[in-house]
Amino acid sequence: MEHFNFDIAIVGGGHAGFEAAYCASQFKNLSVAIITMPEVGIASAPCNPAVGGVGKGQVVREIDHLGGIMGKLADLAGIQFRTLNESKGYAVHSTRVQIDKELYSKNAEGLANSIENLTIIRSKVIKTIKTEENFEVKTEECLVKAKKVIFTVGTFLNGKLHYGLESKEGGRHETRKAEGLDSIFDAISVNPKRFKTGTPPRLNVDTIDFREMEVQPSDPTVESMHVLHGTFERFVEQKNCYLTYTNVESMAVIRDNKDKSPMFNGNIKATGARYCPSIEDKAYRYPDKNIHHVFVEPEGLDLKTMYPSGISTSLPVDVQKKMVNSIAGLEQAEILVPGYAVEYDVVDTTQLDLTLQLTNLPGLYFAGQVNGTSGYEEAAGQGMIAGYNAALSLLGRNPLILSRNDSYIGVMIEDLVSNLRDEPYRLFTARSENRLYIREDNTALRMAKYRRSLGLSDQIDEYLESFSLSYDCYMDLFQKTLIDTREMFYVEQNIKFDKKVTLIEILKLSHINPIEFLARYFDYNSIQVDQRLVKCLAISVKYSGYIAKSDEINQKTYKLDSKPIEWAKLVESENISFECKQRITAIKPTTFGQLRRIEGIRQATLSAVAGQYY
Amino acid sequence: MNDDTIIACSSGNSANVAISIIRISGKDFLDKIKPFIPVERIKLETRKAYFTKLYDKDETVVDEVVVVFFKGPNSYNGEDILEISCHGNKLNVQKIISIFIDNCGFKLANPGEFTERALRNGKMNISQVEGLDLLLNANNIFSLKQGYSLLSGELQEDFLKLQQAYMNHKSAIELGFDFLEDIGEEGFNENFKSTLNELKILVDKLYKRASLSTTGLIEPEIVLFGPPNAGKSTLFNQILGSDRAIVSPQAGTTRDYISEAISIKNNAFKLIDTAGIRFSEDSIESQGIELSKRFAQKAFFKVLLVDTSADFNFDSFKDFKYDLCLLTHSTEAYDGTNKGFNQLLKYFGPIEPSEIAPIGPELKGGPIEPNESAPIGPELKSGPIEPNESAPIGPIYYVDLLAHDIGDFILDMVIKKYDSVLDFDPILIQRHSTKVNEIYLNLKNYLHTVRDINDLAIISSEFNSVGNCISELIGIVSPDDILGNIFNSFCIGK
Repeated sequence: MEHFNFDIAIVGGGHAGFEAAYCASQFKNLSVAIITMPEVGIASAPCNPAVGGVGKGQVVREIDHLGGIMGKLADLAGIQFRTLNESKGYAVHSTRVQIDKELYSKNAEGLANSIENLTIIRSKVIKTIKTEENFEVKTEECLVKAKKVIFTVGTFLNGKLHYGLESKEGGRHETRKAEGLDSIFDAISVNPKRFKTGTPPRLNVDTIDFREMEVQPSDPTVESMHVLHGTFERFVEQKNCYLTYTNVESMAVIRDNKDKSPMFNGNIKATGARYCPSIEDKAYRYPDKNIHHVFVEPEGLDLKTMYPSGISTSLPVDVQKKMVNSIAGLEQAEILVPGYAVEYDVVDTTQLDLTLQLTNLPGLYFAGQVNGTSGYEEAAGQGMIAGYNAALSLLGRNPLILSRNDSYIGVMIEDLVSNLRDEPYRLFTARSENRLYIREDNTALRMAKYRRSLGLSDQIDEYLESFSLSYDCYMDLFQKTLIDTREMFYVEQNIKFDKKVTLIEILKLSHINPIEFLARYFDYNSIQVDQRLVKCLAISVKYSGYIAKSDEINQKTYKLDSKPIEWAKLVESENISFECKQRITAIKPTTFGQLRRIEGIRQATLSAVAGQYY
Repeated sequence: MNDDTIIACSSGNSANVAISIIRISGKDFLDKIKPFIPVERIKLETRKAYFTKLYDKDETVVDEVVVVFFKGPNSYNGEDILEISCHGNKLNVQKIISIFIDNCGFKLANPGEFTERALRNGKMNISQVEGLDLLLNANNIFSLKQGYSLLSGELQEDFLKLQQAYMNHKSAIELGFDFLEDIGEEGFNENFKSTLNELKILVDKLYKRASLSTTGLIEPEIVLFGPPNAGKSTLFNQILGSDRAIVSPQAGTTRDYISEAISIKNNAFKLIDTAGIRFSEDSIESQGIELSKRFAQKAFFKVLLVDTSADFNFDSFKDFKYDLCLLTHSTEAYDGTNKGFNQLLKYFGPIEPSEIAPIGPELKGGPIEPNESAPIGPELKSGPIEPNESAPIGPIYYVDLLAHDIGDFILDMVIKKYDSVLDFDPILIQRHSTKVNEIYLNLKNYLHTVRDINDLAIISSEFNSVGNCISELIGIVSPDDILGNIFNSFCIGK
């Protein structure tokens, strides 16, 4: 059996694993390896063919600005760009890129092979043990010794697939499962709950009648994901997505076959995400609602498969077909790959610290779906944190910990480690207390200090420094320059002040679109400014008052968060409900903030606890 | 925070009484008191009453007492508590307390300290402590009732419902960001509106209850206003049924205010005779004017007396609304020569006193009814209860105070108003009504934001101010300040 030695070994080559490897390997004197199942591609997209989305777009940009790879790969394989929540305010604008998933994975593979200090080992892991100095990862073919190990094993742990009444073992469609964590690595506590996720059937593009559907073209005004790409640069041909709807008949098919649904006949015991419901969930939980959105998305430029987003299902294939064919435009649609559900083990993330390292077994990290999250972006964000921190720890440097006050990644990781999840975790903008500040447009400002702390030097570092510097200069200029609005340029735009004002006051006017105005202003004054910077400046000014107010409220609201609590005493108290006590016992919160963030904690409990401070 | 064992007389020791209760609270103090109360001999068990002798250090018997022991955490404040019922002579109580302080190292409890510990040990929440405060210091049936309602957590339930409605609307907003593709624009709008409406209804309801003056209700004041010599002191005495105020025919006799506590149907009221309001060089008198204005701001029931036979400066009176106006010194129909009274008519509008007749005690039940819609409408800031807004003055009567004693008549009007106000279930705790007002104002601002700003992210952020106030109301935020307030005004446990 072959033996290898690495500084960092990553088990799993999905979005978390590859991001971890890419980040760690930026420290050129470290040797990094990805150990992955032979039949699974690097950074493959087994579910929806898209990167980004609400809250997730922000994560991709955070990864990108910290030197990660996801944004770049998304651009290179991006076949459609959209801004979600466009009508809901700048703070919640989120970019989503439909990707050619084959191209995405191919690019990732190519890149992985081009990195000198990164090795890819294709072999199934059987066992991992901790020796005195190292970890030893035993695969079917070889033995890998590593100082740090990162587990990014996705949905493969004890994976079980459900296609209607049939079920079989596997990590995803047509791939093997991994053994349970207890057999791979004992003494690691798994979450007592198994999680479940699902995916819709893939349809043959040639059998779909798109004339019946609303067309959603790619938006050329959406900025590319990777900051060093041209602002609106596209690398491949752009494709449309389509929108159609379920109807009474489609829902009747599902309702009539409830006994064949593994989620409702008892075959699946694991918990799925409430917010990512299958079409069965929608049918049974909302019996009055028959019209649901179905977005039909291309999976690639040359791929025959279309992804119908919104009808994830684990019903038997014949029922799936009947349901699909009842939908306008899909009457003749052929199913190429059936929809299915997968049940898998997840680790107990409360055992991890903020670098995603196992508290009682330093050197072992967990990232991605194995931590109970959903989504490629959440996985990549964790992969990056685990990857950088494994490297920093080896080098004896300070860890990289993102604050929840200035990043969605920080929000996610703190949420994960301070809470035993009882359903898959998805990032929402609502999870952030600082939503007005954590935006896509100011990612460079937010990430600059973190990237700087890594002490790496690359193109991205130059970009961040120059962006921050320019931002400060222009802000200073805005505050100091007084403008006489009697000039034609302002009069034409219906801007009228009695006295001289600063640009800040003009940008805050409610009838002014700050981005368009600022672009015109720079034009008018013949100043050349990067479009990303214009947007960031304009929105920052526009929001500044609201952010200040929100900070003030937050300070009041979260004033108690740092106060210590004694959870053991709390559990003895008679004033707290049984359910709250259970959750408190599981999490063992040490501060009021942690207690407050435990899901399902009642206001009455918080109120009782708050009463104890004086 | 300290873990000292504390001791105090809990039943009030201001006078000699039959029985007083001394309470000891702390951890594992039974060993220390063994020399004084033979806990082993009587085999002291929790929650049982024992008759025993209480000894001094030199083993002489001090008193015969009944003791009850409550083993923590199943006690009032979660600590071990021993209650000693002794003979209630003040000296006796002091003697017993000093025995424990001198020999066992116990500390005399600070005001409210027993309850403070209950709070610390999670036995009570803040609003329960507030309720206890109200209950113990109530001087009317209603305060007692609300005190108990708080103590038992009923009012807190109402507040928690408000919190739930807040969460529902907050969720509706969040749906618009994170799940728009699932619910669609229309579903979002529908949900947004209906949850906002539910919240609005709850806030309006609480706001009405909170807008009733709290100070005005906990110790309601009946205040007599009017120019000098209008007959305020005479009426004061009639209501009081004694000759408390100095009555003389010379204007300006009552320079300072005079107040008396009175009880109507077991409810405590304060009757106040103000100084005559008029412009004067006399500094004492102008102080009186200021004072009476201040009274007007928090008065529960205001009576304006006007001497129709003498001119007066109406400007001093026009800023307030009165529950009742009495025209004194003339039983004749008004002849139109009194300038001040003309002004009054002008100001209050046409008050053709067609039914005006000399009234006597037989004419009971004046026409005033606090109108439900007017005085507590959402536009009003929190303040005293006013008569119907459309009529800035209550009923007007001619009355010859020298011929008729109308004391009972007035008391009847007062109690009617009081009862009708209590039907609204007003919120008495100042902190609660202040917070409810804040919630109301924040919600109002929020409604403007929703109307004016086309940015849901900002709308959501603005909505947080509402949530923040609600959190404060139910005691999640800044309890430091709340508790500071409570324990400053506390007077129990001692």
